[in-house]
Amino acid sequence: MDSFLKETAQTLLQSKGDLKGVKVILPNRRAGLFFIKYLSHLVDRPLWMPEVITIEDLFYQLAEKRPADKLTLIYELYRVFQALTDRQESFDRFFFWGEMILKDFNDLDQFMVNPEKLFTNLKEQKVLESDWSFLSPEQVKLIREFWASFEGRDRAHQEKFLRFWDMLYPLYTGFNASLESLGLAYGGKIYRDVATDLEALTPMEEQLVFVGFNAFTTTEEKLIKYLVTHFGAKIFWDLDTYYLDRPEQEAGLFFRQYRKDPILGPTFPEHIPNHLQQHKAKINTYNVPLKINQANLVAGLLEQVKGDEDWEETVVILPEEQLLFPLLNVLPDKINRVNVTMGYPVRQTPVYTFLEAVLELQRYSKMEDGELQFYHKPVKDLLSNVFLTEIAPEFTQQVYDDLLRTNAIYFPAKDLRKGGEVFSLVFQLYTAETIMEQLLELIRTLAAPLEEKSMERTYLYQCFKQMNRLKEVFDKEIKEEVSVGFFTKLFRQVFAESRLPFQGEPLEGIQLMGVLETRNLDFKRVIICSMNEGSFPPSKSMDSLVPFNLRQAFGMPVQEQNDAIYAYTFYRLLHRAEEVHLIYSTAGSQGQVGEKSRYIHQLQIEMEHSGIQKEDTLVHVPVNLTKANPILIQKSPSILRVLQRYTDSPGDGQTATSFSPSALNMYLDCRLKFFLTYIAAVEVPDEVQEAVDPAIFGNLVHQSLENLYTGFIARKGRNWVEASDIEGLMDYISPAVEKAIRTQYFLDEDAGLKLTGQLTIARDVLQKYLAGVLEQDRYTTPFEIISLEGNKKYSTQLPVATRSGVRGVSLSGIIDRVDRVGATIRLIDYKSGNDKKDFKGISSLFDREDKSRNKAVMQTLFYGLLYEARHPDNKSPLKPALYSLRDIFQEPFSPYLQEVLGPGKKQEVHDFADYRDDFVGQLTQLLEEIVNPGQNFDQTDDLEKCRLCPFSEICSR
Amino acid sequence: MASPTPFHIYKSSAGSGKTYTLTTAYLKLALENPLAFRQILAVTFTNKATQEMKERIIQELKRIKNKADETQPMDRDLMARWNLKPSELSQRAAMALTAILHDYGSFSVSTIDSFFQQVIRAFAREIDLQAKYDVELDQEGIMERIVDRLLMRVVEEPDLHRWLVAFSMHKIQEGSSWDTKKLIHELGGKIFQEDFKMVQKEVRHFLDGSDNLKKLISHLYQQKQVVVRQAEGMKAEANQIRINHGLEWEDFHGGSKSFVKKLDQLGDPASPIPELTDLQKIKVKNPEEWYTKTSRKKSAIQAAYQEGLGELFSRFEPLLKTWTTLDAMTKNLYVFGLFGYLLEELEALKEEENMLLISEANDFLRSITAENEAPFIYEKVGNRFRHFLLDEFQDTSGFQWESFRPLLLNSLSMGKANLVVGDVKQSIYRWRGGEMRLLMEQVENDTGHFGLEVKNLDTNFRSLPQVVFFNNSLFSRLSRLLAASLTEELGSGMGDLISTAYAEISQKVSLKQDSKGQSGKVRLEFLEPEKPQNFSDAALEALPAMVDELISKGYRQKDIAILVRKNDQAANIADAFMAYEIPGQEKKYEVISDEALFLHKSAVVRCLLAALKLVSNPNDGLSGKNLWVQWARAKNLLLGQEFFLQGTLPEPHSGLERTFFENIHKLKKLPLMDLLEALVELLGFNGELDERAYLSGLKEAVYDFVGKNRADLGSFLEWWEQQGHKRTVKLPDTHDAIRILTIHKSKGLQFKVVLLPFLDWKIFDTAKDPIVWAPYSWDEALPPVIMPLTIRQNLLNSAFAPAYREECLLSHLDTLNMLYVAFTRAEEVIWGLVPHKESKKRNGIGKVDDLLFLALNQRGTEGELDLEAYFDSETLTLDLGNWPSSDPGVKPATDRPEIMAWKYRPWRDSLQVRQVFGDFDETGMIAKRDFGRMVHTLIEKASTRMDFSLELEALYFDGAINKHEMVLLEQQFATLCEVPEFNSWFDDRYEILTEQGILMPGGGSKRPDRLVFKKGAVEVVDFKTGKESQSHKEQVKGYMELIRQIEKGKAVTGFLCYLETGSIIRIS
Ligand code: SF4
Repeated sequence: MDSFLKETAQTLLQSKGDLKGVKVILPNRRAGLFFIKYLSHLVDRPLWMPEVITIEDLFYQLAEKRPADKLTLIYELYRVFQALTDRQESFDRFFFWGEMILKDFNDLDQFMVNPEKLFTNLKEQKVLESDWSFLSPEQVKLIREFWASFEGRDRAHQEKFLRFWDMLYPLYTGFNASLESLGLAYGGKIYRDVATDLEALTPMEEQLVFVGFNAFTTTEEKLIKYLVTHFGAKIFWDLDTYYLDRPEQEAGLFFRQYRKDPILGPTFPEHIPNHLQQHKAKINTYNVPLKINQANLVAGLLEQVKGDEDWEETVVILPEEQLLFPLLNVLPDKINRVNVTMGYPVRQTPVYTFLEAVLELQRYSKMEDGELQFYHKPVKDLLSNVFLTEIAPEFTQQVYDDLLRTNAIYFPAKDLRKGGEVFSLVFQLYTAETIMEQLLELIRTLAAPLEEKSMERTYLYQCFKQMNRLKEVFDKEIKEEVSVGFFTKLFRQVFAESRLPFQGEPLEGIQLMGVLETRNLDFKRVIICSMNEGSFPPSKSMDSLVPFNLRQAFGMPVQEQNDAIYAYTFYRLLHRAEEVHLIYSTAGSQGQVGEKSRYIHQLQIEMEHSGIQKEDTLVHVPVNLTKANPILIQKSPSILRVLQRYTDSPGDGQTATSFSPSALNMYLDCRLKFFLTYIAAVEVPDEVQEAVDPAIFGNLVHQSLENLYTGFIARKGRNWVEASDIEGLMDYISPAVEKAIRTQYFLDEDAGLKLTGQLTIARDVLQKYLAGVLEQDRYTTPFEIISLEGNKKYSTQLPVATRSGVRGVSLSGIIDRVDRVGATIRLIDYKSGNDKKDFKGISSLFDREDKSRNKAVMQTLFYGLLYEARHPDNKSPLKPALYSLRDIFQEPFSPYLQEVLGPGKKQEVHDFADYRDDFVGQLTQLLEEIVNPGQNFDQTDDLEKCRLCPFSEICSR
Repeated sequence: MASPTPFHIYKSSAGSGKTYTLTTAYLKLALENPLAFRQILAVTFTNKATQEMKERIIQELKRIKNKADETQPMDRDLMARWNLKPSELSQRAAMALTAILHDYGSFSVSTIDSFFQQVIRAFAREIDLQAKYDVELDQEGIMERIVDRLLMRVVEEPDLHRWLVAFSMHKIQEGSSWDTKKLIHELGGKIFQEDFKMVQKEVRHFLDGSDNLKKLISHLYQQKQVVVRQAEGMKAEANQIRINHGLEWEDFHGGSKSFVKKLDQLGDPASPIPELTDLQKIKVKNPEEWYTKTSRKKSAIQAAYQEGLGELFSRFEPLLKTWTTLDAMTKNLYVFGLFGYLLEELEALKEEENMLLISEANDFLRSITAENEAPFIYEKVGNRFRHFLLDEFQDTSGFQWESFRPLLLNSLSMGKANLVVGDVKQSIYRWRGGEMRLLMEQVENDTGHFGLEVKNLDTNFRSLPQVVFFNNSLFSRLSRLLAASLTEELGSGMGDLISTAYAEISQKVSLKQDSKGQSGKVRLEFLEPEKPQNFSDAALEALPAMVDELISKGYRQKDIAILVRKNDQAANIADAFMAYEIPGQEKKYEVISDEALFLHKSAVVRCLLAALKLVSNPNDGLSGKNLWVQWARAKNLLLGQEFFLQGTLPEPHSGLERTFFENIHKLKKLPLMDLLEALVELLGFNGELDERAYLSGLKEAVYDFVGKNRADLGSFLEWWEQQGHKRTVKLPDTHDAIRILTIHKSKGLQFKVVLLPFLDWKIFDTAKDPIVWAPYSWDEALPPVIMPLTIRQNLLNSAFAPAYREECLLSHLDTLNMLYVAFTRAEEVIWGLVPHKESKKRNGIGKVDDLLFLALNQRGTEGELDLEAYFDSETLTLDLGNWPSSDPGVKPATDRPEIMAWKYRPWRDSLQVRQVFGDFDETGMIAKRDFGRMVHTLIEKASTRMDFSLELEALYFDGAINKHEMVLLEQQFATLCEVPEFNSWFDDRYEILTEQGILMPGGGSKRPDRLVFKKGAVEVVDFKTGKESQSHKEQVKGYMELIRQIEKGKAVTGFLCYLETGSIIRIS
């Protein structure tokens, strides 16, 4: 069957013969392209092509005027608005309201509403005066109803509404007057001017032909009727009796009105086609769980199409344009030509996301001591962005590392700018006055090295163009200060709608389109995705400041008209199709459920012919999951070799190493974790952390206390501490803590110390902890400090049976503090956490099944072993001690270990020697297990252990 | 037609045909006239319920339209209403259906939220919202950001700083971490909740008073000191008395563990008054209990008792009460002190990002309906509702009701019909603000004066007879037991709420179910695991075998639903089924669950994420390893050392790795969606793949993300970190698989078989730290401060006992309701697992299993099933009824995965982005070369000089040129016009055609730049840039030839005009 446009072309050609001086007006340009194509297939000799334009073009031609851009218009509106009210609103805040007002003004002009009447406040007025007689009784009723609702108590909201309402008429007139004086106009106004003064039109010689229209605005209708009566314009309607003759079918709403019209009525053809009923297109519907799988389904459907078909005859309609790329990426190979009408959304290009990241950076900048600083998150985002890494790979990497190392929450701009020109442009302060110039400059600089005609350059140029325009408007029109924040919003808005066209011969290959571009086109095979309420038809978007009843009373379009337009768009697609596939998905967005489109309901319930599938086909993707295989590491020769490093014969070319208590604790927790950390040495990437995590806090604790006492020893030149020293030490707490923080974050001595909120709190807590420790030490005085962590690493070896006989296995550790109190040597560990001092016997310390295994006790006992090894002659009792943050503030405080012997029975550990043999026995066993080739490294069964393990991803835990 | 009682309240027990009732009620209103539906608003609880309700209404209309059936009660009802014949009813239905389908937007079945938002949108300006705002659903995320912002302020604000440090110290002393962020986050989250909003004004007022907080703290501190002092005094007193009588504490009954020793424990600063057990409380009053019969010190003890030791104990209780009260006040004091800051930050954040929190909708609406009369609201919204049908009313919140009430009253005052449906027994959304008392009493109080009819729907249409009987008996027992236990625990009258709620528990079996000749099956097994904490493991292990048995009885997987309380239980069950090998079968059971099928369980998904991380940061060694580990998992390979040690990666991994790194630069430049596709291809996941549903799920996640956010990799990875773990695979309900869902989500659904594997939860679980807001008077001059209290059992003995009682009571009701919802989902079979304990170990009713155990071992009352008769104490199983003879029913609709295609083909292979016209040179202006082209385009379009200016302007408005460039172009054109020949082509006295196409036979067309019609002659002009060339001439000659054919008899002249040089060549 011939398409509508082809039929029309034929009729036109037959009736005219010569097409010069013919002006064809179509709803959109795409239809024009197809129209010309059909025409050219019909001629048998060269002929002048008719002029093909849209109705918009026609109005602008007649008015010899074009609308100004939206931004300028809204700003003008804003100026007038400001003059009218005493409540000042910033342009930022006004902007989106302005958009809405402008839309309303456009509507009321397009529909030739009398603004003065519309915006009258009829609250007090009970009767409508006689000059309202242009309204029908129904209209009057609607208006009355609206104003009647103001009766009753006077309320704040109503007053607010009225205050605004009362201003709209002056705003309208003021706005128009001001535009007039500037020589500007907006779309609706141009339409209205043309339609109001039709007599002024110069007689037209061209033959006007309107093709494929459905809904006219009042101004359009006026103009067209005038052209029909005065200049013999012709109209070709693209319609079907199915909806025309059934008054309930909203798709026919406008046609039914026009057919009754004395002027338009006669333009309807005598014979109106009945394709929809006669033609019995095959209509299938599908229900797909995920939106994204619609693309796979379409591809599958296309796959089934026989090879010799013309792809031009197939259209895929995407009411949600976002589905375009998922679809493009699965198109079957046999489709070699694709024509896309929708364009590439600029906001998805890497260039755009880069620029947006640059703006995002500005949101979180601050000046400190005259120096510009940026928040770490956006900086990190930018440093890993390809536009910067590409320019200076080393620099970006180095700064990135710096950022992590110093845990900089704010990072100085000057260090970032060292990367070169682009960096200087990115990491500068953008101010409201200069932001656009700065961005333009950035774009130019980015583009400079790019190959001509490369895709990125094209993207960049598109951005450049848009920005340039914005800038021009701002330079010329807008004197207002806008915030960088507002600019960012505007920037987003402009680019949200910006598209890059695709290359391609528009009339060849499979056609991928948005809904509105299908106007007037016919295809044999029609596939429509997103047949969901909210997508097709799209969700209501009648944002207007004019309440519904008033809109209706004054003939401005309401949802009904909108519905009619969309319904027509849908049904029209079925006119001449032979095969239709309608796809919807049950997944919605934001946790909503996808609802099947009303059109499917309508078809399935109302249209009676054999081609319609009455039950939807359910399409689903099978859910299978491969079982997560466990990780099991057998001790291969190479691993055994690595393990050898822990023994007294580390093996050729290998450096010796030793087991620390934390390594052993880790092994007990999870063998695999030990393997990954110590044998495979998998590196865990750093993160900048605003929070101070327990490990870092722990480091700070150790470091500060070491600083405190090292300083003391250095100052006093002695290493015993007396009660009278404590007071003096208190003064050194603060610097000790500060120094620890510097060390932790690799900050130079002279670099200003900028702490985050969390860290300042941590610092204060630390200071209190140190004071607490000193308080406790006061009771212990006098004592002698034997060693502090930094200056002594203790180590020893234990004989362990290995495959190759008994070997010495190295052990080592750092003891926070060793001191002597009276005859006792104390081995002290500072704990920032909540470690307990109780333990249920030595074997419990090595029992990996024991959920409350006391690691801290195992660690301090381990120190006993180390100390002994270094001081074999020692006769003094060795007393392990834990200074835990929590306990320091508890009364009474005792740092010593307690072995739990039974319920309520505890025994303090006075001397390591009492536990030595037991401990060594257990430890040796453990070490034997570690080096035992038969013992694999496997994953722990205790998922609790995995919760905070950095390898939980690898383990799929 | 106004009915005599416009307002109906339906109390609808489970399975009592609620949807049917609602649908009938809807139709009764909608069939009044074809457009009546526009004035009905039916409110459902969830989005999904909305869909179902809509479908149901459409279906019934369709059915009646085809044939009204007198045997159907619904049809009978409807016919009776208007006295219609079947054919007339059909006709009405047809008309209504048509009207609905063609004004679908007015078909108002919606959730309360979406209706509210509609209203709010209409009032945005009046309530000072911005014109554009986003509705934010992720309150967790917002709280996170608020807390971060709060912490940033610490540096600048010493007060805040001091407060937080004090908070940290307080936590440390309590033995917790110093890091209080999590606590702030948790309790701070209350700002979104209704019970806080109810007291928000008072709280803000209190916190705004500069000294209030400080005063409160010192008050609390002092009062606590007073208690400690007193306790210390008592201790001293006690010891004095003891010493006076020559006693040691060990001399008393019980020796070193003697309760009398508590006197010596008085005065501990952390808990100055030791608690006494119930037994001890009795003992302290009875001197006989103070010594052993044989004690030699009997008389000394008696004397000591008389002298005051006994009396000292009587002081315990009041003092402990004071202490507990003070202590409860202190617990949340620190976070409470931050509420002002949190609210401030919330306001600021909302303003900055134009958002409306979903939780605010109720507040706004409340203000709108309070502020305006209903007609004005309708005028603004543009939709006037006259009838409201509210479903699941027991879960409506106080605010929601307050918002709705004016609208409802408006309707009632006009005598219009309205309807509320709900069931107090199924109120399980208290944690979201659901207020079942509305249904129980308030709605009647608020609207009663308009007259109303309460109807109890007492027939169960859902379940087979034995299932109904069982539930009748079980729940009347359970409610009795709980009511009694509450009365005992909390005092008389406290059981009444439960008794009232469950007063009409007994349901009738419906005719339809009765006539099936099936009995239904109930089985409750008490499992005896080795250790009590292993009950869940035991249950998990038992589940697959239970399913085996059900399948052998003829049930299909989709008939079976497993109900759980918590999401992680659902996940565990899913894992258990995933690991289970069905005896003698290749295939495994499939499960569907919104709570369990997490995307990140898939190796493919994990692999791709590792790859994405690696693209983002190629130095990320961990992801570098993880990528190949997951890849191997996806391909079901074994995982050994080669995946972890340096340089040991085997083929094909290492080859892929090379390709990956070689391409990384290109990958980095791809837009996010494309990047993912490219990685899927690179890693070979486009071929046959098991985890396709998961892969699709990941793509969908990216798809959704890109739609709403900045579409770059870094942002996505961050988002995934925060939100990704919540994404699950979505499957249609029709799929043949076992359903796993939470009891909450199961509300409103029904299944043939319901498995309840974990019947072991705590009835009143204070470990969840329930928070209530309670007033505390402490200063005569000030109104009481309203504090957030963490409910703990000891509050029963404090000034906050009423709050405790209320919470305890409601928690009991919650649990009972949860059980009710769970047990009443089944049509045919209920099968539950309960942990077993010896009865002597069960003291009191603490957990659900205690409750069930007692219920099954107790005599029932008249008319109840003798449950204990069905309980076999050997097997510890209750077994009731018979297995229904299975009816495989309709085959599930066939899924058709085979119509999908999965082959990847990068879109860039088939399509290119078109070059945008123009480019920039270093100075930012249009490059010279393009300048010429631009002039060309302008001239091409413009027919007159005037046109030229217009086109130029258009270009400017398009942003392609700036003002300066506009001037330059204008000048260039003016220069060209100085040549008379050129000028004549723009002279509007001639007929000038620009871009006038020539149609060529056979489908082609030509487009000379310009045609100028001068008397009897046609000039054809083509503009060029660049060098002169012969081909240009040929082209013009070609045009001339065509024109001669069309315009026969006219002289045709041709011109070539080179724009840069201005040279014009005449061609003849
Ligand atoms: S995630 Fe668990 S199993 Fe894996 S290494 Fe860490 S602790 Fe061991």
